[in-house]
Amino acid sequence: MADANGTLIKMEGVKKVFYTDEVETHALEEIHLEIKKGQYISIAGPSGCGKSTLLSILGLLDSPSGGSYWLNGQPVAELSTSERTRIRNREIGFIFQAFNLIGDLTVYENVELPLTYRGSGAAERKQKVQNALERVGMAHRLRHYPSQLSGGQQQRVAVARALVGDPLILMADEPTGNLDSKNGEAVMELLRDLHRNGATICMVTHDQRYANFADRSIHLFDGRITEETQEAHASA
Amino acid sequence: MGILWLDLRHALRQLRHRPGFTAITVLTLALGIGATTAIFSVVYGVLLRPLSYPKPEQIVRLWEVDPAGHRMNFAEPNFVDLRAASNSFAAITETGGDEVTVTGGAAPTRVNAAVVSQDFFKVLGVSPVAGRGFSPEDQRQGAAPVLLVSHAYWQQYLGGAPDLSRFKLVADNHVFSVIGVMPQNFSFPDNTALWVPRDFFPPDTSRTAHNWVVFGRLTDRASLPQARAELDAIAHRLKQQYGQDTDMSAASIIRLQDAMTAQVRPALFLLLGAVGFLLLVACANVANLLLAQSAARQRELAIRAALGADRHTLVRQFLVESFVLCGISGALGVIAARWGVDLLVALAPKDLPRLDSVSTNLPVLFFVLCLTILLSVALGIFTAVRATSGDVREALAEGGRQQISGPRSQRFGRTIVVAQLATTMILLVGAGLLGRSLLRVLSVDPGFRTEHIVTMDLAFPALDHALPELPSDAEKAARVHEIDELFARLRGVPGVESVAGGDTLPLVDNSVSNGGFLILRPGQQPQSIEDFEKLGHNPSITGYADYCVASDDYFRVLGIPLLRGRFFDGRDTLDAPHAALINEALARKRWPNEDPLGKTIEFGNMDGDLRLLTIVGVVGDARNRSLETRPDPTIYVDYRQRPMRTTSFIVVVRTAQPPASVIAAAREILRDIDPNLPPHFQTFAQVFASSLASRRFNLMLVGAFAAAALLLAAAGIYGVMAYSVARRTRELGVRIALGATAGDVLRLVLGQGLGTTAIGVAIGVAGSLALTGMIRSLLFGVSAFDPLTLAAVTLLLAAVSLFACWIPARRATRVDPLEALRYE
Repeated sequence: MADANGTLIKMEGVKKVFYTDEVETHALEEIHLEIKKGQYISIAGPSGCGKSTLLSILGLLDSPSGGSYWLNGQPVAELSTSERTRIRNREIGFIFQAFNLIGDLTVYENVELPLTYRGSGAAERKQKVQNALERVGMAHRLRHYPSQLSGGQQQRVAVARALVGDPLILMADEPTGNLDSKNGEAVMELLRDLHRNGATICMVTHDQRYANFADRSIHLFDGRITEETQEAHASA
Repeated sequence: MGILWLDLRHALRQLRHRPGFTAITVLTLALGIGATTAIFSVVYGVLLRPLSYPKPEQIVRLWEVDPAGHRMNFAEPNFVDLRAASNSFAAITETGGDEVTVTGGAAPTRVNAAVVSQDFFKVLGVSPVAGRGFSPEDQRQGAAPVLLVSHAYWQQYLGGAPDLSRFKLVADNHVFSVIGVMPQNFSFPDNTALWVPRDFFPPDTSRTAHNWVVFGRLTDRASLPQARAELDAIAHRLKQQYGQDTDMSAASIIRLQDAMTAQVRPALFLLLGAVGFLLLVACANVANLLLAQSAARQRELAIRAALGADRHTLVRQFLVESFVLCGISGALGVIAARWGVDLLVALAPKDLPRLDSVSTNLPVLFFVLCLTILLSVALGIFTAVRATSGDVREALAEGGRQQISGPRSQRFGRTIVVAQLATTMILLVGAGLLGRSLLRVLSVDPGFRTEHIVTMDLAFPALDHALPELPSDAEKAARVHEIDELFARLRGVPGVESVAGGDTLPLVDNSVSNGGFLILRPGQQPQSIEDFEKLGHNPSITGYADYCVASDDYFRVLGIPLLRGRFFDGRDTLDAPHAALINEALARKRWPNEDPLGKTIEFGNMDGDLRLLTIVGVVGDARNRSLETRPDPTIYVDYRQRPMRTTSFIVVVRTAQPPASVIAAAREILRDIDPNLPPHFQTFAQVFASSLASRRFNLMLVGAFAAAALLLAAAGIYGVMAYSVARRTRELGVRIALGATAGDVLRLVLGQGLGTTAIGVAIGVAGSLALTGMIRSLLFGVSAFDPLTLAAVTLLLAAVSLFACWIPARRATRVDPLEALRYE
């Protein structure tokens, strides 16, 4: 659960440095960020500004080189790999640009995967998978393989997979990047519906149209937050 | 369990969705597992499977050991003394025997008959299944002749009749009552069909006549080292007591199973080692395939990790996949092994002991299970560790693009190929050395010819059946007459050029007798065997030689040349002075600076006839025992003068006709002369080929394993190079765009492949030098470090690698720079 004032994510002075052949690349510098429960936040910026790096750290796929990071009130910057994996599985849902569905698994099995890793029982898994797929309108394609679906349908399944474990926050990395505008709009509408129903969403996008769907927009440039705007329809 | 089930389902689906990968991987592993299992079946059946007797580990074989350290069979008085003095044995027994012609059953036949002392069956823990065993009454001098028959003989020649009392069998002119039937599959020793009590024959008195094979069963308290120490002490005491009258100064004792298999052990372990290397090469190929697969699955793994799969979960998934792959391969391997075992048993040399114990039985299946589990765990962990060590974030960042492996995984793939090439090199060198050895053996001059000769192996009744009474001259003359008649009638068969015979034939197993002889002057002839033994204490007049009975044309038929003097001829009758021919080896050894012709020698210990032999000729050396063994000193006597040792007699017929027509005619003639004399026919070329059967068998298997390994290694290096070229498409496109010619690209790719080959070959050479010493005992005329073999194998491996690299290298030269750059 979020802390008393509803803060789900808090970063202070987070930085990320990549070392390659004695060259230091400062991907992120002095990131201060707070995301409250129920917020829909977009991270925007030009290519190479550090958006995806920030999302990776937020999603515990990577760890910061410095600074502090609290998720749901728990410091997570220096957790072990296995601890990060456990939190990722239970508290974060991912939506990727390239959908990242597993080709050898059916729609049902792809969505079931986070619950399987969590060790949920079969009956619980079945019920939650069914619910998640119904929420994204894909319950009729349970036995299909990803290759049998359109791009928009695949992304819906990916959203269902992100939702199925009831995560604290959804991390979406350019969720429309591989979709045409019609399907892109549909996915964004889906995210908006989820947000309206209480989901916390953090989305990376370089498309200003989609950034406008969020309550807050953060602009990154050269690894630093240069601007933060509240959208007119903000509900927080 | 639920998650394991999901992993299993996913693994099966993975394999189904990649049929090419699955088929190649499963077939490669099945080949390795099948070949290894087939060879293990033989090794287990021959070397490891316990003998089918109670407490087989207690059964031992014993030998006398002379002061020079040579092991010998026992002389009977030594055995009797040892049996009386030893406390280590619950039972101890001596056995001898020969092939005999037996009549009285459904048809005359030739079988092995064993003469066994009391406690023989107690040592083995075996009893008759019908009738009774030998009673104390049967086991005394002068008892009524009785024998036990094998189950197979009982079934085939006695109709399996329960009433044994009506059967009388005739062997060596003695009539035996059949009193019992031994259990099915019991035929110890040496495929024996009849067992006769030792006490039916008179005892041996010589302590230097090493005629008896001795076995014992240790007591529950006695260990092998204790028994060995006790036997040595007894042997030492006997030596002190009897001095030069006994050869034994120590004793040797080893477990019976080890004794039965000692000769074939190095070859079988060579084959097991070779097939183990083949399995390693197969596993290396599979590891490379799995590595490529796991590289292609990086993105999938990254997604799983992002969704919460920890490393343990991913490793488990790989293990399940590996178990499924190896399980299917193991099952196919068992099927392949069953065929392989049938093939091996059919092709194995006849002298391979315990061949009937070879099968794909429960212990072999347990071996397959263990091997499959080991491979599953090894390949699963290997793939999992390689596949799950990547960076999740990076893999996901690749987006929808096909994920490709990094330089580290390429390096690893090349390392695997290096290991493959090194292992293949060792196998090829082993096969090369065995091949060169076979060529060397075939190029040896055996001292005789093998072409156009039919052999007819006969077993006449023994003439020494009444020992110590020697046969009368009339009995000897009758035997000579029978052989002469056979020779005469065979000469009349159309197409037969010449006919001869002897008690032995070069390269026929165990057919050569040998012993000590004396060089005496005329008039010094001993009057008894005891006199002979006393004279034998003087080393200046003694020698040791093979003793062969032969007919006058024996040397002409076999092409053994006369070097001096004359062959046997019509002058050499029973009453004439007894003539001998010696071979060049004996002439050189005993009379290096003088003419041996006219010298007289005493060799009466071989057949009881103490008349001196006068050397009338010197013949060329013949490799009697094997092509690999230098000719031993040999003394030939004329069958007309010394027919005592014609019990086993091999007739040789030189003919330009097809063997089948001569054999048919010879069979008719023999049936007419003596219907109770079953012959065994072979061409001499078959005898010659049989003598090389073990060598051919080893070469065939090691060669097959090496060829398979070479194919797999070629596939391995091709795979790695093709993968490398695919990865470097853009780089190659850039190079070509910048002006690289097809030759430059070819050199670049070939250089990389040949660099890998060079490292593999260098390690393989070092490995060969380290390991081939272990097969030295199987080599002939070639060093374990033969530079020619090493050079030839290096060239072969380099050529195969070059070809395997050339195909992807050619493909690399055809990269279209525009396509390559657009692709990226």
